[in-house]
Amino acid sequence: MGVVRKVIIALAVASMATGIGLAVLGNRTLRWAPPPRPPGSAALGARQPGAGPRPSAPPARPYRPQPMARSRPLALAIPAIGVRARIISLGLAADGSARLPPLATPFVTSWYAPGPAPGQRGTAIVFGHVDSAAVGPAVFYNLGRLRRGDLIEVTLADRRTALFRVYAAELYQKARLPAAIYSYTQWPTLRLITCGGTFDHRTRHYLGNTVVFAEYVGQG
Amino acid sequence: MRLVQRAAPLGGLLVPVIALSAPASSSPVGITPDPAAPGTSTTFSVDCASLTAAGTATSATLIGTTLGLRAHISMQAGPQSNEFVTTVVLPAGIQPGRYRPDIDCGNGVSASGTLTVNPVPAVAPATGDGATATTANGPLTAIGLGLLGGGLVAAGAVLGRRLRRARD
Repeated sequence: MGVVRKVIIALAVASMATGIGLAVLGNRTLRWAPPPRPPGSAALGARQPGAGPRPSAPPARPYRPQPMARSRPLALAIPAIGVRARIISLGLAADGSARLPPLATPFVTSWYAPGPAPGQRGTAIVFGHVDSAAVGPAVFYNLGRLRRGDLIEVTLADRRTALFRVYAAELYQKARLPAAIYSYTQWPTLRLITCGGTFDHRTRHYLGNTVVFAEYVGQG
Repeated sequence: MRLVQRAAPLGGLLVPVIALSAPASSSPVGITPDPAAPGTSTTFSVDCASLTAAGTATSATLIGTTLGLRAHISMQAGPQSNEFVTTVVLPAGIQPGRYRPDIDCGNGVSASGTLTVNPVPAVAPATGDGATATTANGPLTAIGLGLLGGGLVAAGAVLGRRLRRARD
């Protein structure tokens, strides 16, 4: 009986040790926190661009508020979350989705070229990855941290810059992503889009999209 | 501005109906925003007084057929006399392209404006592979927690038995 007891104890110890190891191995969040989520703000109805009092944080230099002529965006800077990224121009894929930079270049963003350019009247869209196995957190990992008043600067091919100010950030379920996030505005606006919310391990996709809404301040 | 005359029956007689077809800069029709995206709101306005001889209009109707909307959409009176406005939601399935919906004013003026519909992504973007996403409920964790629980139960049983024997 003593031998049997020893075997049971040895098996129990081995089982517990293996269990602890597997539990740690299976929980890969130990390396990175999940992407930050914006606080709920009902962005599309919360505030229309150009309406109401403007938030604080004045631009660092004078910007002329006239809408701009179309010019290809080349780079993006978001000081509040330490983002400086290249922008490439992409269109639609065959399945109707926007073409995106490859995950192998997770710090490159993409401008949706069939739509307005940043600074033009209408809504300019820029996509970026939230994470990538190559690096972990990617270019728009901290998009959900942006708050009203944060500034976004876009450098254009004609060497001008377009300055935008965040007025809302929202997390939407992909299945109910409102078409209005792409709706064109009379005043220039910018929308930054990435993935967010719960990650579905079965489909290997996030269930949501984080969208940041920014209004045009001016050109410099 | 180019004036186009066409005949239309009125009270049994054929009388000329004056239609305005003009470049965007001088068009009596305003479209905001233009271009527009499928599935989003677009506002049409018309100045029915663009031809003074036509007289005052008391109503105006947007002909929505070409946009995939209902045929007759009544417009609301605007802030100025002879101005009318309506906001419609473009069908989500409208094809990208250029559209020229007509607007008929109650005073006989008919005008049209050009709306460009640009394509927008129809599928939500997949911008990430979950590298930073929580996997606390992944299969390895579940198996590990199961083994840990089993080990604890077995160890508890052996210890309990030993304690009972010690008491005896």
